[in-house]
Amino acid sequence: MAEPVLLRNVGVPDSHKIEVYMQRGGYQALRKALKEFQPAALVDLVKRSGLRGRGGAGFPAGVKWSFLPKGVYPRYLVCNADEGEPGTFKDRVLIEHDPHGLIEGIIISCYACEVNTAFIYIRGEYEFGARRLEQAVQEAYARGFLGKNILGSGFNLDLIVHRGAGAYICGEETGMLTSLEGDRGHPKLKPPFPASEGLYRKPTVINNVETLFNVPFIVERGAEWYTSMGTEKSPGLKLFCISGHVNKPGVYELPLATPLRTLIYDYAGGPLEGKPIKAIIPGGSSTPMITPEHLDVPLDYESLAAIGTMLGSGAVVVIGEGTCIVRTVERLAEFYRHESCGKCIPCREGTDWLYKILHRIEHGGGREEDLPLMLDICNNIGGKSFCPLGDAALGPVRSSIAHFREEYLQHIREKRCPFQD
Amino acid sequence: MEVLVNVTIDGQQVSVRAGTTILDAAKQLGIPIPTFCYYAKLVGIGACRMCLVEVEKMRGLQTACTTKVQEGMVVRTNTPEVVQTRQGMLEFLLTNHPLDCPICDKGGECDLQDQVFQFGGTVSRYVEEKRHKAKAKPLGPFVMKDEERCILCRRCIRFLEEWPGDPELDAFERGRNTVVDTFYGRPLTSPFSGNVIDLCPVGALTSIPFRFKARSWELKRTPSICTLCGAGCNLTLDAKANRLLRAVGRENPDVNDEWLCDRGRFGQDYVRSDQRLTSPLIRKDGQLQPATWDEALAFAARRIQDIAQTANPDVVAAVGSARASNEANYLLQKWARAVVGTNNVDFAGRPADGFAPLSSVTAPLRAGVVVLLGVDPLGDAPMVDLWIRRAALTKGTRVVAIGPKRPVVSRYGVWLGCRPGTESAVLAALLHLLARDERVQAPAKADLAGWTKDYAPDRVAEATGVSVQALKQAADFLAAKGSPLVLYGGGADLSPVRDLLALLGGEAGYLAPKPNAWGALLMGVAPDRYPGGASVEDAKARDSFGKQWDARLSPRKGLALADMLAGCREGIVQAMLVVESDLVREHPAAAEALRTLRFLVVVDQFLTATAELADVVLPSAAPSETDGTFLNLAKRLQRAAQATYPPKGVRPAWRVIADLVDAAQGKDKKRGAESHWDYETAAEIWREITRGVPVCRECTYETIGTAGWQPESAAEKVKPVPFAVEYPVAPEGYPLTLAAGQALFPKATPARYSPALAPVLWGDVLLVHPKDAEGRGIKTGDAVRVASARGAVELKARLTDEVVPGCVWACLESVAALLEAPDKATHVKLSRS
Repeated sequence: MAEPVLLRNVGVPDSHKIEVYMQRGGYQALRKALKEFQPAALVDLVKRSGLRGRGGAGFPAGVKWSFLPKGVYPRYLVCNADEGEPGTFKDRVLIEHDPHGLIEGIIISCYACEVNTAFIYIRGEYEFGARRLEQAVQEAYARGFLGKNILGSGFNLDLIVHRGAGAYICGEETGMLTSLEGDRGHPKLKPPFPASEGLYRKPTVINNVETLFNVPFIVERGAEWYTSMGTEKSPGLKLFCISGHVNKPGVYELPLATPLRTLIYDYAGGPLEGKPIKAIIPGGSSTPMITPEHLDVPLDYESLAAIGTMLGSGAVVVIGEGTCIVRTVERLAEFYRHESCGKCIPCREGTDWLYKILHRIEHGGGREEDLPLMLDICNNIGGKSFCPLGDAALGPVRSSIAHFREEYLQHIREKRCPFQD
Repeated sequence: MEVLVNVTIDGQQVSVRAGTTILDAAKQLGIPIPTFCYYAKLVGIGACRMCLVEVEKMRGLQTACTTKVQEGMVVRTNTPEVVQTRQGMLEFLLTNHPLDCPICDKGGECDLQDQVFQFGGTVSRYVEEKRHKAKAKPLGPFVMKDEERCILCRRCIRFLEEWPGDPELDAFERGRNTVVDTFYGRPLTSPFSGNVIDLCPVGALTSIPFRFKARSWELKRTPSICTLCGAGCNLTLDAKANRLLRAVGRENPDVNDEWLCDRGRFGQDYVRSDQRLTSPLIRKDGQLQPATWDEALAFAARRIQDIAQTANPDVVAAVGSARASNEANYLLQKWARAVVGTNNVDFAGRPADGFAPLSSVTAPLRAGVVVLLGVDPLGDAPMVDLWIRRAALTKGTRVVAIGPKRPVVSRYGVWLGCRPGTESAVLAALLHLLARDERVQAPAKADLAGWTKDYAPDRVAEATGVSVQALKQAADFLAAKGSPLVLYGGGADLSPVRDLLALLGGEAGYLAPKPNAWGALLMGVAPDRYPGGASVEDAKARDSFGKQWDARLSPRKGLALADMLAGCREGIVQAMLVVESDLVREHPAAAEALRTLRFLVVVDQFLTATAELADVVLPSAAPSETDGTFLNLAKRLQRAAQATYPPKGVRPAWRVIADLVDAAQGKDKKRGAESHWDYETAAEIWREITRGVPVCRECTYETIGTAGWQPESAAEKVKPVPFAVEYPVAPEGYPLTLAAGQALFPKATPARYSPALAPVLWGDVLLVHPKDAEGRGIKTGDAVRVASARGAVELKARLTDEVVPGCVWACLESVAALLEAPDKATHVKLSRS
């Protein structure tokens, strides 16, 4: 196994402290960036690295930065640490074990984007992580990495850690902004896009924790180093969080395009109790599930898209034989109807309806017409909801009906869940 | 220059202004696109997804309400996917909708019902249990909420945020549990809360006073205007079986856009009050007792004639009303002049010489700063208050409020809380600062700098109680924003106002609190003016009206209202006809004066405090029970149309006056006079008015229509003049000053008789600053006695910092008897009862 990059500090005693971080070469990339790069050159560097957003959508980070309208200030940067997608816990590891790595990434990115005020919007449930970040931010201020005239460069940056109150919708970028502004976390109409009119109606960059975390390494090692890993369209390193029926669930750092089988068998220790794999959710709970025939799919953006699913946040959930798919999907549907913000009709009403039907099928009240009905409801939500939350709720429903129709029908025929005694 | 773009919608081409939404472009082509959350007068949020349409070269469906058209755009609103989407959205909405249309007030005028009918499917596939939420939960005194019917379009939330700036509603909880509610369950208090009922596309928000009174299709709908303040908001009066049941806003961008204040929306039901007079009354043995119309009219006519004949016509006086229509006011002055032969005609609240109307009810939209000179538009003309809020929210307009009581809208600027009577001095201090501000460019600047040298802020601050800092802040708003709109009340001293306009431009206007102050004046209800404004001393005008009215008219000016009242005690005035004016509650000394009259006739809808003193009371119809025209505070001529018949035994005021003439002529018929008083309808009176009043000459009931008619008027050029400010000096023993005004829900006629407003009416409350209460041992709720040199009343104290120390405030109708003049702050003393 290669030397870890993103996870290099994880497991090091007191890795969250600035002394340890600096001993291990921390804040050197920042020095280099401030000394050797003009902001525009940094944007160009990240563009050339091909770094894509690690929150789920996979939009190229450098391109996103270049959308900021010229000459409009102040600009803001918001680090999306509202890691809410079920199955995803990679940002948490970075925040808790290497908060300074994130802060350094934020400072460099802010310098690149000419931002003087940045926020970390961290989900309310990450209380420990938030405290770690608060401490780390204070340490960074004390050492002059934050505040006025950072390292004598004339660049100023304030960084504010803001805790969410527990809403999946606040991971959606405009929902995050309304929440950060003190309003109810609700997605906002796009356009205007946050890059031109975001937080407090000013140009705003929003990046995921892992995305920003990659930036110092790209500064230190260059764009070519980054593009040397992965594929042309999906270069670089990715953190995969694997959970479910595997022997060693956890966060693993791999170059993109590593086969799914390698992740499951070589890193995660293979299926739990040697049970055959029934299904895999490859990129977080909203991504359509796949069956074991696709175990050799390379984990990159384009290969997963080609088989009708998504890399998403890199959260791989392995579902072993003996697990009820209907029960699994019901549980996921319950999550989405609980998290639907209620702003638009299809998501608010559709997620509730889907859950109620799934609950009925799982508890013996299913009807044959429920399957086409659910697919119809999915069609009325898909592409029609205000924000991607509505679409996210459909992945498990549609894919499970496609791959496990017979299991649904068995529930319906037997008027019970066949997996329960 | 306007940029036009070409779009194709469903195969039809249209050129529209760049920036137009697909929805509006489709509207121009007559292509219907269903919507719920969209509302033209609110910022679009694209939340309901009903208006999704297909746009070529755009991925997925687009919301027509928020997507702007682009050159060459091709839109389709009728593809299978769009049709399926609409059905899908409607199906979603109905899954948890109670479908209680048969008992829902909105039934018949419900967007959801209509759209399901037009675009929805036919069968429900929903077999799950419906969600249950709160039913019939009151949100404040007027709005009832049914959470199960709510489709969460957020129109109500957005209206309160975007128009009155009272963000009292919001969405609570999340997803399927989302409900619209107030924060912490507090009642909805916005003065404009009723608009959310009109805005609600379903039956989630209904009107508490109107609930279950009628189905929408049973209502007879009459376009009319509100006559509960001077704004003259356009509304529709809905009646069933001759009962006026509700008022809803009617669109008129020049007046009220389409909104109503809660006074206007809910207060119209005073006409259904069980206190309405339905029979004439005659005083017999000291008591007012029911009588027939013939008896009462004959008695009144004979007594007035006797008194006029035994003394002279000038012992008779006629009091018109800013509450009565032009037609009634015109006939009243015609009666006094042509039948009695006197010019003793006047009304309470007549705009003083030099007062100007506002350019429009919407004038705040064009102002940089709104200067409130001792007035609070929320009481005097709530719709003007709404426009000030809207201007502040959308255009950054600032408010400079000068006066002893803090208006709500001063939150958009600064309140210069001054001692009553020192408003002019505060304005002088602002002029002092502005005349020395380099941002201000005006030819009169040098003169004004000289004239205002004695009004340096520090000196004025001491005399008025306003801080220097606040004065500077206000002057800064004025210098930075310019174009002030000065709103003043009845007692205003206009000279510093003129100077302000000379410096900064802008406009000034009298915030007439009653619906027809300018109309009564135009109709000649003034001791020195004929209809149209010609002087009674003008021989040509006298001759012309004399011919028209077939009478010899008196060349002497009559008595103004204050002189009439003073004259009562001395026998100069012995008989009086008062039409729809509650003088006792509005005018100091009226009660005392009217008691000394030999004969008093009062025409009104209620047994008002004034009517209680009368010898004959004649019941009149409300504006919604007859036709009539009114001239609002911007001199816009509008029609109040008949929505119901008056109660049995009640006649319109104009008819009462005509009948009074007929009754007199029954005894002593004048040659040929009959034809002049033989009116069948109010429209006939209006036709006669247009013959004598030049500005109305071209105008008929038809041309006024339902939108009203605004005569062109050239703005007067203002010339600065030097002025001097006098500071009021408190006489020994009267350390406080009483200021009187109007509340949003005043206990004045006719609002005091509205059943719907009863729970919110302003009681007999006296606002006292805590500093003044402290030494006197007064707490909120205590009964207190407030006394001036003229008398004393007992009120309930409410401690508040809405008034400045040294000032107490009450509604005019509670304290009219104490005042020196209706608009004059008066020195008083205060003690616990």
